Amino acid sequence: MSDTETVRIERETGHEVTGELPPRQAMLRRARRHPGFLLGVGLLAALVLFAFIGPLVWPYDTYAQSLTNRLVPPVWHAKGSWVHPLGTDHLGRDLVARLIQGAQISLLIGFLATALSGVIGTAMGLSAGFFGGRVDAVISYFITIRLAMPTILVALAVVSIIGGSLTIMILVLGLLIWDRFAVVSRTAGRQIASNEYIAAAQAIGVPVWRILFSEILPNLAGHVIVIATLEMAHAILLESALSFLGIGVQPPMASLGLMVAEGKEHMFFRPWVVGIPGAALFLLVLAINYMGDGLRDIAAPESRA
Amino acid sequence: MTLTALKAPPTQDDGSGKGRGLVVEGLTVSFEKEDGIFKPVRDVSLSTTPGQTLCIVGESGCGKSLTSLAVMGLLPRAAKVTADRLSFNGADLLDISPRRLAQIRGDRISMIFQDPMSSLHPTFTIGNQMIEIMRQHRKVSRAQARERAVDLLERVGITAAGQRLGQYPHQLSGGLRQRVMIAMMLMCEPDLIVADEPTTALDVTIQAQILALLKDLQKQFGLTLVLITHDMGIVARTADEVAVMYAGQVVERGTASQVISAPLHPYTRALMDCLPVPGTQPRGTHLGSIPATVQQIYGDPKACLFANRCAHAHAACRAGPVGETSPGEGRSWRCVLDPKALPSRRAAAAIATDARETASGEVGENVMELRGVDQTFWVRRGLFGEARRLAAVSDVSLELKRGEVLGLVGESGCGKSTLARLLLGLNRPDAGDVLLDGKSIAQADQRVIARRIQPIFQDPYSSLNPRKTVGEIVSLPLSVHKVGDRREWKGKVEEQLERVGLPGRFIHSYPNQLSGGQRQRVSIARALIMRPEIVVCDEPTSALDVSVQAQIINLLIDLQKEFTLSYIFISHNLAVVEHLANRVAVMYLGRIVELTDTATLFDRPRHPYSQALLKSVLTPEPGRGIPESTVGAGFPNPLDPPSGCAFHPRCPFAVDRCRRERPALQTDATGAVACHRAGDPELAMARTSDH
Repeated sequence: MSDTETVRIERETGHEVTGELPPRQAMLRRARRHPGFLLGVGLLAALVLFAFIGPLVWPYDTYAQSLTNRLVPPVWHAKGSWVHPLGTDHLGRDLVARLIQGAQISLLIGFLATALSGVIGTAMGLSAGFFGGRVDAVISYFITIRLAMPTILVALAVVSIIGGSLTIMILVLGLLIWDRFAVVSRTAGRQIASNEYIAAAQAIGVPVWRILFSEILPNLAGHVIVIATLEMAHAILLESALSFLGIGVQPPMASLGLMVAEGKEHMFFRPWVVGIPGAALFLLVLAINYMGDGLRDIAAPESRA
Repeated sequence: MTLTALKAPPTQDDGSGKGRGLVVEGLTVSFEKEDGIFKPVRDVSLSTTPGQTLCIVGESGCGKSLTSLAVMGLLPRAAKVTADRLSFNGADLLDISPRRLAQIRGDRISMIFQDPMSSLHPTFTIGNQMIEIMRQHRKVSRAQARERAVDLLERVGITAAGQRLGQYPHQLSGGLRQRVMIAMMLMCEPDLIVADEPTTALDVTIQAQILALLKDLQKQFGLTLVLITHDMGIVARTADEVAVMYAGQVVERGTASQVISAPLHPYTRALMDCLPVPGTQPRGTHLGSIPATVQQIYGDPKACLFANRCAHAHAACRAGPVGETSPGEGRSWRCVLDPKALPSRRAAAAIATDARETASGEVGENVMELRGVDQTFWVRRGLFGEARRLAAVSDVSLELKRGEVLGLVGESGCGKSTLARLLLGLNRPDAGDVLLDGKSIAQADQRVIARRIQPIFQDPYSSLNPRKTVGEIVSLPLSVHKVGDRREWKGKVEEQLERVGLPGRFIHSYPNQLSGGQRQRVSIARALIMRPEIVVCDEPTSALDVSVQAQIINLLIDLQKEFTLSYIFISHNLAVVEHLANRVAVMYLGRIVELTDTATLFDRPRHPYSQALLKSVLTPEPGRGIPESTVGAGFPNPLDPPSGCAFHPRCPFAVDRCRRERPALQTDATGAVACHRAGDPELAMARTSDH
């Protein structure tokens, strides 16, 4: 990324072995040397650009139907053309324009649902780990209950009762996938709280909220960010699954799962109608997972398993 | 079946007896790093004499452990090992297939590691592990191996050995595990045992027992022992031959009496001076110390590596690398100075042995008091298990006077650290009262307490938040107590850092960029920035090297004088406590068993437990051997404390009454002691016979 790394200063022998870098610089340095992480970040950046800059440059409208141009094959097909590079769907809508919106929705839901669940889960886990005792018992009880609930079925039930919309999807997913945040920050929080610098802060008279926010949370951040990336991929897949089942994002909006659902009747003769949104989903989740795995190595290299 | 019947045929030998044992010549370990080649071990030559003990001594980072791992062939692949000669009983260990090396390892050579908690496999019974290691190397049946395992466990002093075989490591205490480890290493009756800091993780009484056991087994089996340690006391009491390592080189070699009594290298001398030795320095005076830390360099040295810390360094030391001077007979050193030109060690050693009695600091009125304090925890096993009572601190009464150093000693698990938390107000007592200037702190706000009492903790690696800069860490108390503004903080922090001997530029450094000693100085700076009157030091030097320990102790002494501080000094290192404290409290299983002034305690300990603790101290006196321990190994389970006097199961003087009745702490003119037999002539005999 930056070329400062390639410049190696040849030093004479006998110079002293220098100390460690500050934590932030050390992390940046590990990030720059992690090919998986760089691949994930690059791919994800490309997809974000596609989703949010795309609409400004792409000439077709997401909803414009053209029944004379139904199911046009993509450009690499014998009958394809550059007019619609990825072809059109069963209503003659341009697939690139549909994909752009699908990617937007996936990223939006993934990000917001993860942010919501991250706040819930971290707050619960951190309190359980730090206070222990009764607080821990109650929160662990909630975590256990949550782990026993099948995510898809609960989401299905809730959405079919109150009806599907973007906001509801974000809320439902955000309120459902906090379990991993809670489990990890409970364990990590307990371990961090047992350090002597926490006792030192207590002995100084630092108030509890400040110990939680300024002494423990910064040390927990690495773990939380790693979980967040993995949960984001999880949320995106859940959204696609719900939309595929018809209870997520509602037509005529586009979503990757919905596009697969709409194309499934044409799957045998025109496989690209399903293959293209499927591939997009695959790439998106792959990018996020690569980034998450990389982050884990970068944030906590000693706990690599 | 006799033990010798199982002995493997001796490895090939040139017959002359020369080259027997371990021979290391010109051993170098190098790692290729981004900035150059780093050699943590360079040009090390060592040899062992069969049946004798070789001690390798030095600070951390000097390459002691890497040397032993290189000998064992246990270094990671990234390490490059070269040597002119590396052989054991004539067999070359460098030019050997990994398979053959693995055969020798565990069979002819075994290794004992520092941490008995992690060196045994947690999911196999100790019996399985012991039997397996033997069957790896010998054609014996399980029954035969089992028989030998029982025999060895008995020899290392484990009772009911047959039943122990079925136990898992987590069911055993640290001392027992280390015994099991030693028995396991003896399964194949090796010729050589390499022990890397085998007692560092253990309590003093257990340390003495384990070392005595190793020496005893050495005699029985004719073992050769390589003992790696940082403790000159251990060296003096166990070694036949000594190699002092510094920055990857052996800087001095010789017999134990040569190296300890007449050290030639300035580093060896400086290491010896760092130790507080009872009766040689007046209490509360500076110890000798070595400035800075071990230098780690890339490539080859261009000067003496110790020159930057050496009190006798001059131009010749920096002119080029220093070679070994060797007059023969295993004696050698690496120094350009003429040993005769060095000043004689400790001209002041003649300071009267009663020095510690004359030095009494000025002690004022009571600043802090504990009255009958109890702290109880409830331990629940599993979700539905019954909660069991753990009395961490019971009925402790203490007072601390202004300007006083109160030592607090006892084995791990005796409640020292819980007591520290009670004093700091982090735990509030279940019964009794903690008074500050005569006022109870039971209802006090933590911030009020914080201004008067501050802690210094043990582990410099966990006492500083890794995500914060030194400046943020030291200024935290100022920000919590809203003293001044940010600009003032910076000035104050810099001033404070300088006072504890750190450069002001460290304000922007992160803890991971500092050495252990520097981190501990940051902790001290943080503790003292609000100018408290009382400092609770919870093992402040036990995670540090002796040279750094001396630096920190000197700093604590200076700061105490400067700010008239009172210290509560918790430590398991009795020599340090003796050097610093005015009074000492000895704790056992949550209770104080003896409380008296330092001179009285160290000269005439009255409680059998105090006597046992003091006996276990290893002073660096060559030839005195390991003191025989009179207390059994078993520190009782605090969940199930013994009846009557908690010490009775380990006490050699216990009588019937001790089993029935708990002795009260009784105060008289010389101090307080909790023992039924304190006035008994038999106990008085026991303590005088040792002096």
